Amino acid sequence: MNKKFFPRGAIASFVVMIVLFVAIWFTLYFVAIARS
Amino acid sequence: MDRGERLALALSSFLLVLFLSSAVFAVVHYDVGLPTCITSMEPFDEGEVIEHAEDRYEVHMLAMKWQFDPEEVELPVGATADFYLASDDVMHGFQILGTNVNLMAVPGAVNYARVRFDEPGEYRVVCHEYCGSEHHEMMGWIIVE
Repeated sequence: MNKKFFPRGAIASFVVMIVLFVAIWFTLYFVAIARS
Repeated sequence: MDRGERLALALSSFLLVLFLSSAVFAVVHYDVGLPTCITSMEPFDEGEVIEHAEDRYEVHMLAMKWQFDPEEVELPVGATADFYLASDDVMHGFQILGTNVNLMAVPGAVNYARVRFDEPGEYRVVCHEYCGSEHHEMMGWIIVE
């Protein structure tokens, strides 16, 4: 109970979200290059 | 500065540099064209298709309520077309489905994109900017054969 709170879960979710957004970005990036 | 704040700043900066350099790399290495804007209307203020060579075309596309002029453009397979897009009245969209051409027809300006059609087929051109009561029926065709 006296342990200092650290938002591990929130940070992990944030990292997963960023990785997902980067994956989506590069997916569309390569689709756009393929179409050009 | 807090350690977490420094980390967030570093990560954001890294991603920004990554995305920007990827875009620049695509322009330089893959010769990907970016849409550009010309502010003089003439001679792009009427629809026209100009054939410069067997595989080089120049298309002056005029967007108006609620059609594109020319409505159909016929091109041979492998042709490279330079699209110059202008608007006769209000803002319109111009997207050639299946390609990277995605422009806005802005009154008083001319937007440009270059595209090469390697695959035969009928490419639908749609207006994706609301321009009035018949916006949903505003479309054209690029016929490549």
